[in-house]
Amino acid sequence: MSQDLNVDDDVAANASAISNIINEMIICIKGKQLPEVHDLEIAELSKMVAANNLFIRDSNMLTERECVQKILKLLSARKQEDGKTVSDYFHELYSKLTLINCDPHMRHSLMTHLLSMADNSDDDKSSANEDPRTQCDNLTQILVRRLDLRSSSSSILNEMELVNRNGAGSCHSYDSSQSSFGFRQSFPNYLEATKMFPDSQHDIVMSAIYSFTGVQGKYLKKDVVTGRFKLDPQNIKFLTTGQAGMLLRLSELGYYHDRVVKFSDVSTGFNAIGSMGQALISKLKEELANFHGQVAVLHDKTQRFRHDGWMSGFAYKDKDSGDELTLFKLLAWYIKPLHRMQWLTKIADACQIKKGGELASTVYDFLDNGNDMVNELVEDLLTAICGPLVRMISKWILEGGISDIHREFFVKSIKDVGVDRLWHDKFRLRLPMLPKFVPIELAKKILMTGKCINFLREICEEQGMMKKRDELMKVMESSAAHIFSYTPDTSWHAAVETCYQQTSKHVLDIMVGPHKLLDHLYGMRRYLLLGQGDFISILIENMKNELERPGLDVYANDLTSMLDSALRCTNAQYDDPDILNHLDVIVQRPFNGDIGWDIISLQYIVHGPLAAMLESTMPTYKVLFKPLWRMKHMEFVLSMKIWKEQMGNAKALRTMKSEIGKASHRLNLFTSEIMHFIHQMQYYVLFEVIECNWVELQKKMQKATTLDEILEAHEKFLQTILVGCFVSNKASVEHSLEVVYDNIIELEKWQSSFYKDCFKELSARKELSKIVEKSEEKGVYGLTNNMILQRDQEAKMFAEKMDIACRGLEVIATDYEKAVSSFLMSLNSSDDPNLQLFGTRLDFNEYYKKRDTNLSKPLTFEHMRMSNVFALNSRFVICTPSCQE
Amino acid sequence: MPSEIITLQLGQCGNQIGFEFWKRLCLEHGISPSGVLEDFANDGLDRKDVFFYQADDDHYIPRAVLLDLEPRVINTIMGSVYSKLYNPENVYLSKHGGGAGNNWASGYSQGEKLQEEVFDIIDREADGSDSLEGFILCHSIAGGTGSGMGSFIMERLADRYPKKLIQTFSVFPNQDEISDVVVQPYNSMLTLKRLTTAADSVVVLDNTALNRIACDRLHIQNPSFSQINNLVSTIMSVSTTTLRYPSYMNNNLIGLTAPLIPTPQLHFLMTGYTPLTSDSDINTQQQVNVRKTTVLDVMRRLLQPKNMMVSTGPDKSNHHCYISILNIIQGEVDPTQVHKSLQRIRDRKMAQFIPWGPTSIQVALSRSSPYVQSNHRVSGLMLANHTSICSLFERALNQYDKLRKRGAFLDQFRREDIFKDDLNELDESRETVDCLVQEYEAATREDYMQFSVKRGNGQADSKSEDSRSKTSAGS
Repeated sequence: MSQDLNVDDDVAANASAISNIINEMIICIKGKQLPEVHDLEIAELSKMVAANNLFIRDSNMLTERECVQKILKLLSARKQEDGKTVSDYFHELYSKLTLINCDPHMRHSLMTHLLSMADNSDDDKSSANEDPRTQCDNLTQILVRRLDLRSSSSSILNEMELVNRNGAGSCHSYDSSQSSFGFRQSFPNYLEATKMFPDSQHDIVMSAIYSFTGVQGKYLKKDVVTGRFKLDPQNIKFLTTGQAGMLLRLSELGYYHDRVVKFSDVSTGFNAIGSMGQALISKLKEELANFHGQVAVLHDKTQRFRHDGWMSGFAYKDKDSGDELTLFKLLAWYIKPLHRMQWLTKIADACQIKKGGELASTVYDFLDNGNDMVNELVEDLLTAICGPLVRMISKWILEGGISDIHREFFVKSIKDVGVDRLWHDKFRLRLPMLPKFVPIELAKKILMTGKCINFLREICEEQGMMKKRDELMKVMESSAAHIFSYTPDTSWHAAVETCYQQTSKHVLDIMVGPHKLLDHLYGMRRYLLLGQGDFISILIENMKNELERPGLDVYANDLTSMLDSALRCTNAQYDDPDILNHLDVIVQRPFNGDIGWDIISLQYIVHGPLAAMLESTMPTYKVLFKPLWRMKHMEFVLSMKIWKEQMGNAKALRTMKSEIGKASHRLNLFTSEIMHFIHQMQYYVLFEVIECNWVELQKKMQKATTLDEILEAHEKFLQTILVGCFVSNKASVEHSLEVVYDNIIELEKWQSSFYKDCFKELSARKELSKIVEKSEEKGVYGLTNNMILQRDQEAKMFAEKMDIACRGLEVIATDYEKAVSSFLMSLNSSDDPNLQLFGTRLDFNEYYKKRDTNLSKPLTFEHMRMSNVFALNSRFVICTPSCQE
Repeated sequence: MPSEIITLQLGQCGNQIGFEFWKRLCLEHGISPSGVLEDFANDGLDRKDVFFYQADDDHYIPRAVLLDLEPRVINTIMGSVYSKLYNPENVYLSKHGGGAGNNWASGYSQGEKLQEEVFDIIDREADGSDSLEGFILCHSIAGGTGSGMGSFIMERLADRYPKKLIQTFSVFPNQDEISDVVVQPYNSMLTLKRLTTAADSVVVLDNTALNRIACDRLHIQNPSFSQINNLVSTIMSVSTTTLRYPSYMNNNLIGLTAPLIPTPQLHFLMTGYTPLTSDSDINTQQQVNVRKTTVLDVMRRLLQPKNMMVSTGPDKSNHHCYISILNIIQGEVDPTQVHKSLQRIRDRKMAQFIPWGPTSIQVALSRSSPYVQSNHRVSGLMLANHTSICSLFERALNQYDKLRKRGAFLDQFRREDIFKDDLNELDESRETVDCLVQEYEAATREDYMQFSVKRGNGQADSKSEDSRSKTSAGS
């Protein structure tokens, strides 16, 4: 070992001189070649020589001197252009080399190698077509050798370990010495073979050792297609079947080694990618280096043994062969590395072209292995892979930054999304990149944390850093292995949780505190969802004229002042001005025939952080406002106009009761019927849907610890209301509701014309009675026949008008009833139990049920049972033919 | 300010219940007897401006007009701590101060004489409000001032403010005790006519029932006026609570009354209140009577006749039914319970409803004042339009008929202008009330849709018969 070191030192000291000489020597032997090839050969040579490698020489045992002579002989055949023979030059170089203080072994091996080179260079000329392959082989060999050298020279420890391991392993059954006993009995052939051809056995062992690192040796060649080693057909005759079998078995390690090498080669494109992939590859390379170290030690051992053998004059038989490496020993040794390489191959194979979380998940799948070694190995790999991930996470949750050039982080930031949609849309989970061991809840928390930081920084313009940031960072990045721990209770998880709690609390505090999120939600519930009843009725009262006007004549600026006055004179005045300022009335672009009611709506304007939170819900509010507003419209028409007019006019028209009594009675009852409908409807929507859900929402908001909980609850609240307000229901419900509303408008028109006629008649009668009175005063009969006739005519016409009006009312009433029936029908047949109950509430005293027999059907038990039976039957019917078939 | 309501208090009874009403409102809104807002009352949840307005010095002044023909009650009020509450310009006392002598005709003609002065006050109040919604009239129907002058003012109001609602809280006389007012049946009949024709809705406060409730339910042996009035003030304040504590619905008088009243005539509303406790209960705390009350409990109890503030007499044929119901529930209510309770009531058929149209129990959840302590978690007021109220009118008709047949006590009526020539007014009133009873009876039947009034004198009979045959042919 110390000798090794010395050699290394010498090489280092005389490196330049030696390399110069070798340079020249190769030129001598090979002639001028392409610089790459030349360099390669030099490199190969120098490495091999430095490692005291007896690569080619082993087949023909020549001393150094013999080598030199042979080389000279070979070279003398060639002529140099300048007349001086190559052999002379070579000799000159050789003598220079001898002068330099260098290891004789090294020189010997160098010469041997040069000799083989000289031999080959002659062959090369004859078989040029083989060249690329050898070159390729050279390439890999050099690569391997380099690695080899590094590990062998740097890690004596490794070697020690190996020795120790072998020593410790002696108690196991697969120990070399013990196994040799076993083999001795069952396969005496092998022993004989080893004893008979000690030298060739060494070659075989070397060949096996080379194969471990994927290098072809004398006996083992690589199959071009599969990459597996096979026995060299030329040399197979030197092997016994046993040796051949063992060699083949041993060469398996080389195959796996090659595959691992391939997977760790970035240029192939089949490796894992991304920074986490890089981590994996570097880990693989580390594994390979380790392995090469072990092989190098083996190699070294063989060499030394052989060298010692020479020193003692090939006295194999005298020596205890315990030290010598045999194929058996290799067989015993190779189990562990093979296993490791196999697993590495398996894992690396699975990881091909994968990155990020997917990669981590793939590797994670291997973690569940009963084998401790595998477990450890996978854990190592996974830890390495998770390194970049953990860094990305900590950067994200501590600073809100994403540096993810490979798109392998499970949080992504969408570039095109602006700041205004930062909260909802900008950051998302990249689910394919989510490692299996990170549960979705945790991923969401991580997403939230970074999002909150970004939100605070970009929108709230808060610059404060998180408390104990450095500490958390240290904890988080200290051990990447924590991230895939089976139980999420590691310091990493705790740190993430702390970050999450801290940040989300901070955001929540800011939103609920200075930005008054909850107050704003309450404000929207009161103003947009009409919770502040007095405000809405005053607003309608104020805007009465504008609302009735054709859409084109409505101007938003008039309305704003009305809104303000409505706010001022209702309880809204006690509200926070901050909230009231967000309220605005807008006028949509009118379509043909739209009146103010259709185009005027309330809006809540949000900006800044609130916009980021609530902007996405604004369309829902807009959608919700419409039916609510329409309902208010109907209530207004019904009570403020229709009902009030009826009450007032009933007093005024009392004298005409006998004529119009029938019509007005019908009118009153019809009105009360609609009134009932609209009030129940309003009660249902405003109270049972909105208020009840609002109470729920409030409870949730109070309990919420994070902003998203609030927003989620709010979102859900809106969704429930959408259903409750018949917005997202079936078209039939909406349609019948629309018909009901239309009939109300129709009724209002009818009523106003009806009362106009009545009052006209009334004033005509008053006129007449006045004339009569006057004439009575005068004592003259003042009425002419004409006048009486005309009056009678008019009265007749009025009576006819009343009849027509009655019929008109009847038409409206019939339409209305149809619409209500179909509305109730769809409520009753609805899947939503709330809607069903609303249906029964609308028909509390079963008035409609009695009138429309269809309505009672779906509610009866009989029907339910029948429909069940029917469903069963139909299934049965479908089943039978298939059974018969 | 919006949707204002002006309260008119007429006569002894009207001023008394009005006084209690304002006391109660002050308490609920945290207004001191002198009209100053108490320090603690600043949460801004209530709406004071419906019933109050603010003077220049920010004192709250009730939109109330106090009218009487004799000084006794008004003097008591003006001598109390609440004297500074009212606008003194709104307190009108007839100068001769002799009262109406429990004579409807006297009250009516005095009202006619004083109308200019009275309407000066009312007009001024009406002009002082942004969008006046209506009037609330407090009076009794049996006496002289409240009934007579009240009738006159009602008629004039209906003429003058045809677009404003007129709601009355009308106290009906106690039938259980013999009244010292012998002409009470006449008075009642004449007032009932105006209540039918001129008012838009009448909340009937039946002294009979109130006394019975005081005796039976509150265990007061001889209930005093103030105790009864306490009940009345509770009813009045709770029935206006949705106006004063606005929420999503029923925030104006019209929204409150319109769904209750299907046709212009059928506007006599009964009330019921639960749980009932007297002042003494609260003060002494002797009866620890804090039962667990749920919404269902409250709604069920409200449907029980014994909690009704109207004594309707036994309904032998069991045909009377609810035309409409509004329950105003106060207190800690779980919103989801309301629905369940309604469902329960429907399933058990606890209430009988009209057969001729859709109707149901409406529920208005209302905040209650944070300044008034109640030892009940949930309390409820029912405003109901029930056909059995006509038994009250039938009783009045009977009593009237008895008296009228004998022609008794008519002299003092004849002395007044309105009855100078003939007693037609009395007969007309009787007829109007009779029609009302007919209509209520008709409303219990399925064919109410084809209803038309049968006149007592048969004049309209043929016509109505005609129309009926026509409609039947038409349908």
